Amino acid sequence: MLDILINYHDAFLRGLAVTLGLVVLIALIGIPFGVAVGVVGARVSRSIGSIVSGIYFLTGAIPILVLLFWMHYPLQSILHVVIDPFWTTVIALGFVNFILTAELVRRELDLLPKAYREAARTLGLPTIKIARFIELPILSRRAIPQLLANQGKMLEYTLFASFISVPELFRVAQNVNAMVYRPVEVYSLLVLFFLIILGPLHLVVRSLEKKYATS
Amino acid sequence: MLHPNLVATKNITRSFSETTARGIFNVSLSIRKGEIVCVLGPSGSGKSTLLRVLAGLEKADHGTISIGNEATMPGEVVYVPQDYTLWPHLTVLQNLVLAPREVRGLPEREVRDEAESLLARFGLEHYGSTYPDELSGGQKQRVALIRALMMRPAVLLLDEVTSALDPELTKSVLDVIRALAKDGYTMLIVTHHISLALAIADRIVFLDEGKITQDTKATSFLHGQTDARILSFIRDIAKKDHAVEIFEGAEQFQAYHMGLLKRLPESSVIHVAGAVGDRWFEPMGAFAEAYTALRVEKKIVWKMAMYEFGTKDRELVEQYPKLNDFRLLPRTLQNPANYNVMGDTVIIQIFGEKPTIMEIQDIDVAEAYLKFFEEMWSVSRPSKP
Repeated sequence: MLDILINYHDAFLRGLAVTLGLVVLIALIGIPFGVAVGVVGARVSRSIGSIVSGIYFLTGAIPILVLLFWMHYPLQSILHVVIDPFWTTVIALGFVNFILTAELVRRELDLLPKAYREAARTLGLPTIKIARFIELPILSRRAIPQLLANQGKMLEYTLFASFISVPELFRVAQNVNAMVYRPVEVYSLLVLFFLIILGPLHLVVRSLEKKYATS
Repeated sequence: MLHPNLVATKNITRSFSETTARGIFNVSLSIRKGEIVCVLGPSGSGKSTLLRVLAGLEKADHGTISIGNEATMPGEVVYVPQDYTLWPHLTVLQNLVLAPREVRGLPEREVRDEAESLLARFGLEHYGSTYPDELSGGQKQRVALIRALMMRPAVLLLDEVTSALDPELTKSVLDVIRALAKDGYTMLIVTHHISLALAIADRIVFLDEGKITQDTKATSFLHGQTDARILSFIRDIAKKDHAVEIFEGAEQFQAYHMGLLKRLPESSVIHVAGAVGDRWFEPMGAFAEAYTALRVEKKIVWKMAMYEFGTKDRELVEQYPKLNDFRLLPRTLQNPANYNVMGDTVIIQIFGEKPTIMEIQDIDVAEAYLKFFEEMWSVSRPSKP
């Protein structure tokens, strides 16, 4: 196994860079826009909130692989455009991440007891301070573990990019295996990569959930 | 000294539906500085809506609200609801200092000292660094009340703050409210505890279907009550009040009075206000003689301010002048019920087809009624039966 890693480390590193690049771009699209639209949907416009919920339902019903293929082939054909598969993946998964985040924020804000805000209002706290001292801290405690878990899912979803020829980690592993034909070692290496990346993330999510559940 | 109105509402309406009578309609209410007004009424009568409108949490459809003579500062009218509203991510101390620091701009050290001293005053000195989830319901509500006090509010609006608590925890919260009453806070309190209302309120307001149907002095609310709907409501809530017991019908009436006499120490004084002729002797029936005999034996005095002397009263004064101190009240004050005060117990007696006794064992209620009795005594005149 070690010899494969040594001989093909360039390819694996390039694959890892593509995978991590995808994850970072998907998070950069999904989180800030998702938080903004989630807040607007919960506090400014109920109709935007309903649209977010509707799209969340639809994206939940469509397998990610199907969505990715649909955006890669039919949609580009309809629009008469050709987009690099890397960017197609960023757009498709960025959109899914955006919807997941927006719905998470909208739902958590909706679930936030109105009484907390009212107690702050009656004590004279202005809206901006209510958001800063009350709503955002409570919201972040409730939403951050799920938000991190969603980013883990996005990392897993990047594997589907290999089906539209994005040279990410899984695609690299397939290519290396095609050359050396030692599937046990190659795919075990892949497992190891994901364990190293996703394992700590899951531990962080779990410890945050535990911490915030008791305070 | 008569204080000016601190809170005054004029014809405020807040309606939640065009088809149902949910909300409040043309409510006019004024509260003077230092006054405590309790709001009673059936579920859905608009009590919480009234408080929420005054707190600015609901906007009135029309009508005017004025609070104080000048525009109030934020946090001067503080609303404490029945739900637990402590912010869960902050410790008790952080819950207490946040608003005074951020709204009033008071120094951290000063507000912390004040918070710690209030926590100590209400028996929570060891809970400053505790998170709300680790507190009992009673402790949470006490902290919520302290959080309101931290703003040094001009008016406190308390909305059934004990309704989510079991009886044991309820007492600890009611004790805090009583302490605030003694401190002179101006309060508008929605409660189902008739004993609390009678103990601390200056006035009781009855709200029904969103309208104020009665606004009366607290001590007159029970014994002056003629409204059948309110009497039925009082019976219902009294059954849930640990300090109140109700005895209905002639048998229970007789048994109650005999039992009470046996319990009272020798040479006690029973203060009675509102007696009319021989009205009390009718439900007592044959037990009246045994009652008198026991009363004479225990030398228990009737100090009675009454509207009309009856034949039996005349006999009692003639036979036992030292045990019967009777005076006459002006007829204009006449009420359908009377009340007795002895020790820490007040009883309201309502006569009619079904004689009823409502016994309230509460030292604060007894003190309020004794004060009321002295007022009535001072306007009564000595007159030989």
